[in-house]
Amino acid sequence: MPYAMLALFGVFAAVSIPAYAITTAKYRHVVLLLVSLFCIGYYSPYGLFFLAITVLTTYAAGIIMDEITKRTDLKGLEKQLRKQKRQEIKRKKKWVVFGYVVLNIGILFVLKYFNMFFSFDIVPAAMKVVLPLGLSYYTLQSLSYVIDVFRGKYEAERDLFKLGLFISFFPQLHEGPFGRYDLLMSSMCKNEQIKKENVFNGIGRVLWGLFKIFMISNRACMISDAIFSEYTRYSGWVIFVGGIAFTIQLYAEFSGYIDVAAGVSKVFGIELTRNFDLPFLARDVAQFWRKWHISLGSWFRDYIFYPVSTAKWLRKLTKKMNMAFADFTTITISLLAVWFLTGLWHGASIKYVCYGLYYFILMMVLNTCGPLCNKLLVKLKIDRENKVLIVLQMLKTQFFVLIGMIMFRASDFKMFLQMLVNLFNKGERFSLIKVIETPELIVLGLSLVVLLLSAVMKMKKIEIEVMFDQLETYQKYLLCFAAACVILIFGAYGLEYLPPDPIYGGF
Amino acid sequence: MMERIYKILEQIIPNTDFRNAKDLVDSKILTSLNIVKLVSSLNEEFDIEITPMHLVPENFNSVESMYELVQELDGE
Repeated sequence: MPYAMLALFGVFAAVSIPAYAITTAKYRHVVLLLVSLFCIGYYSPYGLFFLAITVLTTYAAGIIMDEITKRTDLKGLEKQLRKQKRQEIKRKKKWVVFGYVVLNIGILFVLKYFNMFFSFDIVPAAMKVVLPLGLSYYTLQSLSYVIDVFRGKYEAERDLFKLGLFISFFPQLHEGPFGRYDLLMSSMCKNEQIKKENVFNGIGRVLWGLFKIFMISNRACMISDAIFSEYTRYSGWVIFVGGIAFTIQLYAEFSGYIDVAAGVSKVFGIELTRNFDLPFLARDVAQFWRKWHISLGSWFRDYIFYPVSTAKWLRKLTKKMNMAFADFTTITISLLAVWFLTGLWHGASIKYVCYGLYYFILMMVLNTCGPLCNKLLVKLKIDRENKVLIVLQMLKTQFFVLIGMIMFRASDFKMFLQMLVNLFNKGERFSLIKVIETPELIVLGLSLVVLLLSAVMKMKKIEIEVMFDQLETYQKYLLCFAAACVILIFGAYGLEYLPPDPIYGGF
Repeated sequence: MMERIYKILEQIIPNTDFRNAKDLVDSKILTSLNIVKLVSSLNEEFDIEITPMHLVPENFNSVESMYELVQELDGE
């Protein structure tokens, strides 16, 4: 359903704004919760059932863990006894987390992965079509809350409605970003009245998102689809053109949807976490993943990488090794867990698992060769901040990202391997004009210039949002009106276009 | 104790001015990979147990904050 989510966002935002505005501050979050529930229920009624399980178990797990901690008095105890009691509390809380994970990851596994693992009809047909809206996003988001309460980062939420809103807030259900309870809640609980400046800022952000989706992504898709669907015919640089077009398509679509979600949230005074930070300027792949889908990367860092790398069993395993080898083993196992699961999160197919493992190998190479390269630079007296060096590092990073993107876009791993082989074969002549008409190509080119300009402004620390906020009201009206007209007139949508499905919406 | 922390940091990331740094994590000098090495060295050196709960930027942004963390865990 290519535009269904955008339409749904629009309708639900339009309904919720007046309802939110006329409600007293105390109950505004309840309005947002009801709208979110309605949105999920409208998308798939079964979704509400699974969401209710997640909300109720998250709520219960938090409170049970809080009570376990509160009911144990550590005051006046000796250090050793205190340590013992703490271990006891931790053990009890671990069982709660274990039960929570089994149930909720179990639901995610059955609904999302079971169909993929078994193509035959084991799962009832009804379950196959009702994959709840935002299932993998809200499952990981609520898991982060439960683990944080387990770690004692904050106390459990006692208001079921507030916790329900944190888990089900409708703008972020489609493509994220993953919010963290402490950051998102502080913004959600302000229950701010709708403000003119927030409305303008939000609409501006939504239009910027729509610009990326309709002006850039949907057109880049024409090129990538043409090349990937006929991949056996093409070779060499054409494969790279397909990869670049898909990278542009994915970035514009994904960041566009995130902008739409952030814009809708902003209208209610809610700030969503940032998900992109100029990823194509990364100097290595590790940096790329700190700048691309930031909320997913930081989730895996905090809830997989750190727990695995500091786990007692791993420390025991590496205890007798020399320090360098122990570090290597620790990092290898932790990164393997992170990237295997990152691949699996995108989908249960060999292709996605290989996609994750591809980045695991790149990270390991980076981790092993990085210090050697740094030593070499010092020996050759080359400054690490040398501009030529930076550009070369960026190009190298983007080359590896591009290979990853080709794997990501290929329909299966076999197709990806065939495309890699084709890189060195002689294929048919390719003409860009044959797959995308000249006017479309011109609009795409101009839109990319606008995107590039916004990136340059960001690099120069020019805050576009702040500049927009400082404009006079009539200037904001004019700008939004002009942007809406540009998207309506030049946007790639309607009967003449075959709209692509939102890529990250499927995860 | 501070000097021992400086020594560990020097081994992990040489040629960095740790004495004046106040945003080691926020400015990406200490990446997650470095933090893992640092945690294992601190655990070993001071016989403490740094858990994922303690792995927040505030605890690793400066040597002073690391010192406070080690002291806190040592006292537990």
